[in-house]
Amino acid sequence: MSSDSTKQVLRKLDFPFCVKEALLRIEQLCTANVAPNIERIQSIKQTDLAMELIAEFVFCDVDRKGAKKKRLTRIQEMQLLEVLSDYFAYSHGPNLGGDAARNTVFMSLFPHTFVDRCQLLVKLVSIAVCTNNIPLLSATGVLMQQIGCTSKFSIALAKGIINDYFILLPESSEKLRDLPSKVPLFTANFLTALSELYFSASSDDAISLPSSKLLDIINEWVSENNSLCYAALTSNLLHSLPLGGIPMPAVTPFVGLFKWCVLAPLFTDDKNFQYAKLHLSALESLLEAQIYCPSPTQRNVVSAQQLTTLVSTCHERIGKILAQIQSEASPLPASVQLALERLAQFVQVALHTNSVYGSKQEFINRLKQLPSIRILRITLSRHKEVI
Amino acid sequence: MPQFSTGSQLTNISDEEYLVLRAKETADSDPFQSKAWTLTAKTLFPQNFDVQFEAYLIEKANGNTKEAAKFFSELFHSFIAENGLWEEIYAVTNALRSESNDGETVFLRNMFSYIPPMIQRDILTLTAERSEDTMEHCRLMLLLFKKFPQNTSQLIIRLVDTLMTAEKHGHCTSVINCYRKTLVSEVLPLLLHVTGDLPSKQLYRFFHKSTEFYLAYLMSKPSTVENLLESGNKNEITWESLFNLMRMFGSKLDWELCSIFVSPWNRDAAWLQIMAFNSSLLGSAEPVKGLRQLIYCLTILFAYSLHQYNSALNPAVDTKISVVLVEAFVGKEAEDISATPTKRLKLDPAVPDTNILLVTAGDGTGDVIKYFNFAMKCWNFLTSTEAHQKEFLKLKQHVKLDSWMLEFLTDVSLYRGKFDEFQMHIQASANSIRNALQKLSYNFVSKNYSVLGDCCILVVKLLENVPFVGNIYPKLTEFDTLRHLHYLPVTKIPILQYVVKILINMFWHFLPNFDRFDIDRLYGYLLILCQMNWPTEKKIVSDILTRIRVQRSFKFLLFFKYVINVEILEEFMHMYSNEQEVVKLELSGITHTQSSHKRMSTRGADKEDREDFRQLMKQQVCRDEPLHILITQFLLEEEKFICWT
Repeated sequence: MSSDSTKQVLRKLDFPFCVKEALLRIEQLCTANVAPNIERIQSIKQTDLAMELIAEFVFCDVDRKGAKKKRLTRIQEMQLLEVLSDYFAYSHGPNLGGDAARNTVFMSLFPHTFVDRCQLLVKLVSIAVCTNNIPLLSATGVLMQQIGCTSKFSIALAKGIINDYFILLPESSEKLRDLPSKVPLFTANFLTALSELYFSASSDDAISLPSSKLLDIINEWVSENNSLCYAALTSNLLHSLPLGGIPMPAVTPFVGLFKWCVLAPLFTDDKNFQYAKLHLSALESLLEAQIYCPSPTQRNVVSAQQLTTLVSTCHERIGKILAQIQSEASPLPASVQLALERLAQFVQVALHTNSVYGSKQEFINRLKQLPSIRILRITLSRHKEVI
Repeated sequence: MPQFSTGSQLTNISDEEYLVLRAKETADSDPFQSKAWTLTAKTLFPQNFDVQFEAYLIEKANGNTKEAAKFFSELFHSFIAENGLWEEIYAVTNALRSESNDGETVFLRNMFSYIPPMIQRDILTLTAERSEDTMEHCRLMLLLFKKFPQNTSQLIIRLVDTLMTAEKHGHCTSVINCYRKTLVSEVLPLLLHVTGDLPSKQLYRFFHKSTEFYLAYLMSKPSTVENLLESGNKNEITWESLFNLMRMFGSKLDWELCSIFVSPWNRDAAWLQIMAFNSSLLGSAEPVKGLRQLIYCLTILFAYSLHQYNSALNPAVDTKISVVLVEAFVGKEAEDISATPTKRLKLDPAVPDTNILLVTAGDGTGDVIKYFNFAMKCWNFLTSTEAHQKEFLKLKQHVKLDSWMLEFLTDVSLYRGKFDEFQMHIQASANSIRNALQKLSYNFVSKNYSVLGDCCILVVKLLENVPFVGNIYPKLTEFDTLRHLHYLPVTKIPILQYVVKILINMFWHFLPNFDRFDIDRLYGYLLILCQMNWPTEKKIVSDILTRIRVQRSFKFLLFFKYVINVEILEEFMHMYSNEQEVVKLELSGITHTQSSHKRMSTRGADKEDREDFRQLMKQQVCRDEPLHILITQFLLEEEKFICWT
């Protein structure tokens, strides 16, 4: 069927029925695209057609002439979300291309270049959490990884979900509890993106702290699912992507979470031991790196580069605190001592389990510039040869 | 960045110690931090026992069973040579066997349950191997078998050997020792349960070991088991458990007869089955195997009846009365008392035992006859043919049954009138009132008058230790034309009644051979003794009174000391007052007169004397003391003369 005739057929349908029909056509195009004997030119044509169908019949961004249309009404948006949710929840048997087809459609719908659609995606994911729409959440997990968990897109997504579940409807945060066992990749990537939201070093004065409720949920996730933080590393995306798609390198939530724990003493007093517990759970989880990533060459759990950034942030923060203290002979403030101890413990366990990848020299140099507490000295001397 | 003082704390301790210290410091204030320290320390010093052990101790102190179990498992895996760890391992294995509910014990038990099964098994095995004390080793192995039954069959044979060797070299004075008890009551039943086929030679050996222990234990009811510290549950060693064991052995040996040991047990049903099996054996192709089965099963039944019989003879309960089998009196009293026992009993071995009557006092001791008869039935069968006897003899030696058979065999020989055997048995047994009575019984039947007095006095002397008084037991001293035996209750009065009866017989027997002077003493003695079971012996008394009247004089200085029977006193009063009769009475009392040697006579008697005599008689009538005490006293004081006659 030619591209024109497809559009003719779809134009005869009213919204939201055209969305449903368009999704099936798009899926067919994507599935055809992965057929092995297809020519390159034809493939590009089909991709273009899919994009056009998405713009005109799914999101209704443009009219038949390609001109911008006004935005959907709230009700239309609700209808669109319902159709999309249903489509991902129910219409995917393995004979229809399975995970790969679903993820291709999903990635075509929400390319990271379309920031506007991100708003809609947040709503879609929120509904998916609430309605237990596992296929949609899985697809989101893959999408986040391909775009990058620490990308603006992913962070915006995380922020949207936090907003829905912890700010707008805090009592429904219980819905999040089971996520690690149902959709580990999504949860792990969500966690990685989430960790960027708080204790962010970008703006000095307005550093934001996670809510107590969020900390509780994360503590539960990490302490009860030792494998959770490794989900991105252990999920094989090769079969979940369109043919020829390259899985993007995974980023684990470890550095992000340890950042919270290390910096927390400098900003808050942790009355309920939430950071102490998170620190311990993260250490326990990190200690099992060999179990979840048995091959030492693929144990890319903690990025040296991220570590360097963390150490720098620490250095800067601590420097500021210590500068306010007059006497140089006085002992380190307890908060600084605790922050440094947590940092050192993290580094020790990361090095011990051989989980750090990338050039280690830089962060080691930075570590040496920190106030020299005993555990840090022990750790550095223990790994002298390795580094 | 300014240089702050950071390394000032605790520079004098090692890095390991520093880390352990930090973990301990924070254990109370921030358990998560404390755990983070131990976790870090473990990654830094994986080979350091103290660091790893501290991690365990912190979890233990916090009551975290799961985590403690994890660390304990790691410790067990990596630091098996550390003494510190072994102390903890012992604490765990002790806790497993303890029933205590104190905090630490409960924690260790719970912790153990979180340890992976393979490690649990290794812990128990290794601890058992390390244990130098056999009993400790054994208890641990039993614990291991309980928790990991799948390994039992390979290891249990070794445990059996260990226990048997330990008993052999353990200088045990009795078969009731801890090694044997554990072997028999715990290990062997388990062995029989878990293993398939065992060589029958080995089975028989185990059978002998078990039965020997059970019999010794059940027959003697010891309060302690040698070398066994904890008292354990004594209820586990019962006839029921021996019967259970018999069923287990029986099924291993393909014994159809082992079904007689079913619960609830029935004596008669068991006997019928034995008999049926015996008849089937006559035509059997394998008579030896069948015979052995028969003898083994029957011996256990015999031992059980023996135990019941022995318990009936000598109840373990203090409030129950023992009984002893004695020969009773045969003859026709009415015709001629001196003819009893007329002649030595002639016993025809062909006469069935059933013709001999067994009698009890009927005060709840009646079962003793039932037990005796059944035991004798078993005994007769076990010794019926040479083949039976041979097999039984072998087994008897293995299980040391002989030591429990003495009383039974003694009674059997008395019952059957095999007095030579009877004498042999009673000479072999200890010097108890039971033995003294049976000796007396034997000498009485054998008419050994020369020692009869001694025997009587011995019994009377032993009466002091008999706790119960009892009542006159009329049937005991009745004469019967047929031979009969009595289960005499071991109580003061019936025993004395029996002794007195024999003495009366004895003195009556002596009567014709006495000269004029001594015959008065004999008359006096008889008068005293006849008071015992009044009025049974009234005839003898009147006979003696007639003789006194005939001889016209009677001198017996003990009269007022021991004669208190009103009827006898009246007879003498009458004799004294009757003017027609002229009998010279010379009786002396010690209780009233100034002169202890006062003569009284009807002829020329003055008024004062007459009055004195009346007064004395009056006093005698008023004496109200228990006859058995009076007669006992008399017998003990006159011992010399009684023995001399």
